Amino acid sequence: MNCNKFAVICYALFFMTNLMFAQPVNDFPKLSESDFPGSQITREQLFDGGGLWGYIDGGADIFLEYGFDKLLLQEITFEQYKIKIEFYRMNNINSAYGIFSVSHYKCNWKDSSLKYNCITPYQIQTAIGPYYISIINKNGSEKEQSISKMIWSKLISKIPKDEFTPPSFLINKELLPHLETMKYFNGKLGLQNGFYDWYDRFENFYGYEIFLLPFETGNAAVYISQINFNSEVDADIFLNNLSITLQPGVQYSKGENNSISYIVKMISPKEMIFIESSLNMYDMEEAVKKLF
Amino acid sequence: MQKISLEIISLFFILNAITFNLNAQQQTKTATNIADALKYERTEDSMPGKFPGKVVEVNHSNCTNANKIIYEAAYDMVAKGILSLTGEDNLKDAWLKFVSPKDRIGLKVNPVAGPQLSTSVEVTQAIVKQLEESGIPRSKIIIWDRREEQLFEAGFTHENFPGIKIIGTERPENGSMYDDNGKLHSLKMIDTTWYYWADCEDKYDSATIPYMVNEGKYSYFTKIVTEMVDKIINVPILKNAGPTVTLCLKNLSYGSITNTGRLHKQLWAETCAEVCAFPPLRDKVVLNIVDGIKGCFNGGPGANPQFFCEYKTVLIGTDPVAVDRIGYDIVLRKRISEGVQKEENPRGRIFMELAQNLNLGIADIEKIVWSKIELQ
Repeated sequence: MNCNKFAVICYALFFMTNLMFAQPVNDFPKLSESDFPGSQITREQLFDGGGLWGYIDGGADIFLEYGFDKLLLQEITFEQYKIKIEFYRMNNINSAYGIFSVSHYKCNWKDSSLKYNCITPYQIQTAIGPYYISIINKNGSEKEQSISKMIWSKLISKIPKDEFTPPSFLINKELLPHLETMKYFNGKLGLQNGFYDWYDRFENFYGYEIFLLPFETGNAAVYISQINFNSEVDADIFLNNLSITLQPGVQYSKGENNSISYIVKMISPKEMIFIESSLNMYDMEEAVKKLF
Repeated sequence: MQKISLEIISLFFILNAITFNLNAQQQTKTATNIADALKYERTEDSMPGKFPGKVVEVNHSNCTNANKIIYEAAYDMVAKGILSLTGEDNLKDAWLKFVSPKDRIGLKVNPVAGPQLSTSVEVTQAIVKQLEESGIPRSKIIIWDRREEQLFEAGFTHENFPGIKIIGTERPENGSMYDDNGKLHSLKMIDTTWYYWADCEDKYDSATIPYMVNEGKYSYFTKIVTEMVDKIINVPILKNAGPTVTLCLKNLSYGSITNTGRLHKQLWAETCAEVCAFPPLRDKVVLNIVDGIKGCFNGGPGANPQFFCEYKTVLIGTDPVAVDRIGYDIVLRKRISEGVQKEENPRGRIFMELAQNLNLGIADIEKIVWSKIELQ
């Protein structure tokens, strides 16, 4: 093959690759100006993979850890108000929920039309399907809040309501009131941002998943979780580190350490239900009976 | 019997030695070229500067109104802080302790998280104004960071700062990050004679490389610090980075070098401390002014409005480690009061302790002279 032919093929491949990477912006159920007559989309930018560094630099790390695909950033000006829409497409529903779970805090309102959303004067956050959406206004005025809400409603109408499902044992009427506080982690940055108290405990593990429901009952904290470790060895080390011993053939164990009670129920050799509380063991076991 | 005892003792020592060796191997740190930095003799301007361990915290209960920073209040906070730090009565005398009209002065701001969570225009304008009033011409002032586009987005525009050069290491020309030969324009902005080497690397995809400039084990210093400025005034914003903070040391270190992605992942604390030990930063940073009027207590370094807050404070000192230590406590208190963290984890202080070990400042809270000024 002569150099010219090679160059043409390379160019063609380069062009096709560019096209392939340019297309996904149309995959996003994004806003258009026709959605809100009189509005103007003043910015539309796609950040792909590590390109997220260009948008939020070190803030990108946690998205990449959860499993980030693309971000579509749109800025819309409507009735002189500028609203920013960050449309993160994550690798799967759990990843999108995970980011949402560590990004929302004290929500002023919640819209009942979707399971997972958090509304504050400056921001609306949602996890829906593989998307984590953040709509941000500048001043938190009533008008800006109302425009943000309108944008949010329009956006979610464009996305199938495919929502995160917690592990089945957590879908329990006793826990229903607390389900909104559920967090999902698959790495250390998630824990660092969402539940730092457990950071040290998982520092040397990789490839795990944690579904955590933290809540308070009376004056006691209760943390109910399902932990899926990457391997049986990791699960054993985790239990050993907490001085929890499983007798051969027994799937249930408990332990106490520094006034903290632990209960473990193995689901498989590397998956467990793990409960931790400042309740005493008797009260904790009584409470847990309702779950198992 | 004696022989058995000796054998047992010998065995004990051998086992201890093996255990020690294993522990040492497990704790082996990634190698860096920090030893190169330490070869350079310190100057009278070297960190921690003129006032080691001294931090002034200026609080102002009315420095914001309807989510906007009041420029006059910001001006007052910076002025009172500088006077208190230096012990001078006159603002011009105070500023001229750090800079002179012949210096080219770089204001290192942090524009990373957009207009709502970046060093504020108001605090930066207050600093510029006071420099001008002290006889520093605007033509001698540069506002800089890694990313030029983010500077503009955060409000560091020619309209807000007329006559002042605004520049980033990573910068497009004619709308493109690349020249006609497919080379990044940013390559012209880096000084390959000054670098932070670390024995770790990462591969970047084509979308990432414009923001990293180069791959490999070298992170090059920007020419902004090595060639374009004589003195640096560091102006970070008060915000968290996970359970720690991203203030003076982080703003300087990660803002001055290329190829930071690999360091974020593996050497965050070491990079914050060690990069600041290289002469282009160590010997040029004369003042640190933390803009804590607005900030965040969680979600940082990204910008999540859920966690924005108004600390209504400005921290000032020449010692970046001591200023970081005070800022760390402020953010930590807020995190604990908001329930996002139960108690302090000493892990958050590692980068400051590393910096202290490099004689860049004081991390020991007991040795920091911390004064507070309350304004309203």
